[in-house]
Amino acid sequence: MRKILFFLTFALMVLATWMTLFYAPTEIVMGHVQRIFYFHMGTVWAATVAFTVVFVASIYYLVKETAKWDTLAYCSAEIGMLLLTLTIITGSIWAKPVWGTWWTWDPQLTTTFILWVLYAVYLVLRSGAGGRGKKARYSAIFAIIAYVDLPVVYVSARIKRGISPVVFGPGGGGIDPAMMHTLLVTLLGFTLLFVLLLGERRRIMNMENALYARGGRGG
Amino acid sequence: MRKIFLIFRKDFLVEWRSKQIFPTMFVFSLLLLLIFNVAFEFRSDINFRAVSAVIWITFIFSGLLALGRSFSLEKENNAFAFLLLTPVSRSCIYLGKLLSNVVMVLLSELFILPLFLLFFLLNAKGISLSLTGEILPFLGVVVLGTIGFVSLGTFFSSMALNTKLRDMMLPLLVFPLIIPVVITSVGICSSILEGKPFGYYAFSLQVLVSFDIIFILLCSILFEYLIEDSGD
Amino acid sequence: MQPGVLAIETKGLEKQFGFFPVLKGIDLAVGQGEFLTIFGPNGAGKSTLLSILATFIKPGDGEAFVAGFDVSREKQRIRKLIGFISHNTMLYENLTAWENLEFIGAFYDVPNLRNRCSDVLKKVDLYAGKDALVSTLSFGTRQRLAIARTLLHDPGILFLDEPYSGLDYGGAAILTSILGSMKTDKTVVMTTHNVFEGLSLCDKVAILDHGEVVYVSEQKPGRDEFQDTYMSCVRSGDGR
Repeated sequence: MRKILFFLTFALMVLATWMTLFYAPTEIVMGHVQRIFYFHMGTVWAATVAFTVVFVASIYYLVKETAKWDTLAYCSAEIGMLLLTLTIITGSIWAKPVWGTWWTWDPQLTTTFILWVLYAVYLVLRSGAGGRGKKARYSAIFAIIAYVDLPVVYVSARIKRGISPVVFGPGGGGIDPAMMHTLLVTLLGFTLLFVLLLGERRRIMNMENALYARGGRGG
Repeated sequence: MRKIFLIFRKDFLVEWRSKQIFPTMFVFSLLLLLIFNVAFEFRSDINFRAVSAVIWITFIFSGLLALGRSFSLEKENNAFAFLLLTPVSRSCIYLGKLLSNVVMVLLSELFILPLFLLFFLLNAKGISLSLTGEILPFLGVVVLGTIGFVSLGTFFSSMALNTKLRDMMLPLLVFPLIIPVVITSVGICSSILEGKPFGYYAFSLQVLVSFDIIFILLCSILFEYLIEDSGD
Repeated sequence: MQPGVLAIETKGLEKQFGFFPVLKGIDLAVGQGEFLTIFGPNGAGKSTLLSILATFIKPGDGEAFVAGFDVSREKQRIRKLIGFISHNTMLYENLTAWENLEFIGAFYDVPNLRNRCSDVLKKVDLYAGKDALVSTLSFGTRQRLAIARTLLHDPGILFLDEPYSGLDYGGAAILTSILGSMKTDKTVVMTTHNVFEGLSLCDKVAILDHGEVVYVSEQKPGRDEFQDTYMSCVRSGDGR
């Protein structure tokens, strides 16, 4: 199962890379730089999935109080953080030639940035909370509140600068079918990559816990 | 309801006798206003947006300072642990603490506002302050925004105190979450000072009120899990 | 409390702090009206056990019931029935003795609260000093006030966590006489590492060491005999 997932992810990521570079047509206005948008969308999508997993796992942890839900939430948050960092970097690379700036405080970017900060705080909270049970409980509570907070951040960020223009690029109505295919394959590829990483991270985490338990020390 | 009020009354008695939170918060706010004043060097060319930001940053910073203190007072001698032993509902404890914190923070804000007026607004060009036109709506927003950040501040101050980083943790937890309160409160306040009509900021007001309701509800549900002790 | 139900019952109760096991399968049963003293060195898990029974901290694996109610699911019901006294008095320093009682009593929905406050204050001989701030009281007086506060809602089950530590000889004598007068109708579980104080009131004893029950006696043992048992049961070291 693990092997199948690994090869499937590998194949899809190679395919996605190939499609992004060769299969998808060059965007007329933005040129080649638009190609980074597929990976940008892929990472932001997978990051969103990751944070939804954190949210759901946190609720389950509070209700069931079993360590596996906490492990799931933590591993997912770590990977989500990585993916979101990639999203911001690829977004910046894309924005510089297209918008003429590395960064702008439009609602989507503001929300993404806050999301990044929230999960950075989540990880800080985990490292500084104290005992294992407390750490798990506190971070679960924070994750739930943060997840509920995000839509409110988005709505209020829209007030700040009025309604910003819809970001163009793939996702609009009249999109080239080849672009759409590339996007879908990339999204699927990144979803699988996330699932794969999550599984591997959990294995490592469980081994770590087992080691701690054997050592009889608090972790 | 009566129990929420009892916690509120007890907190006030304790604060009245120890006089720890209120003076600290007042002096801290005063210093912040002073720092902002010398840093910005506003003359008559006042920017209403910046001035609104100044007052909200002052409120939030000094408010969070006071909240951290409020819960550590409660923790002293473990009296809070005994309260948890009684069969009172946990959301009741949260709402009681929230009420006393909101009132305490609002009171010190009330003392700061005249000074804010004196330092920043009296010499401003193009400002007309009438009771119903500007002052009352302004105070209304102060109340709503304060409820917003104190709701999360109260909740997380009890969490922060139990972490290794203690008081350091509180702003870290609360600041990113209260971004909507900052955006809407500062926005509405500057709109009011600029004399904009109500329709201009009605939507912001809706967002602010929704924030208050959502997080008071969510926090009072989650408070039970927050204070439940796993022992480690 | 339902007649016939055990006041306290634990079956294989475990608790870990992090990865460190503090309780390793505790089986105990205390009938209604019994006085159990749990002996053990520091770090044996006595306080943890009591904290779990008093719904302070969550249990780990296994089961624990107080008055027939599950400590992990029926906390609010248990809280109505129990009282808790520890060496940590848990009083509000900036409130008077009277205010402390009135505040806590309200959360137990004690009827005729004011009369009840006067009654319990008289019982511990503190009525004259009811308007003194707790911060001005001596440790022994605070401990008496803590006892009064615990009696407010007339709990059927009392947990005493090292109640004697920090008390001087006079304070300890007062505590013993108060506990003795309550003993008739209440179930009491007390923890201590002091053999003399622990044996004076109890009906039965248990010894806890390294998170395990190493000795139980349904009768009150003689002091010298028990002293030897205690020394032989407890492994040397700091309890870890």
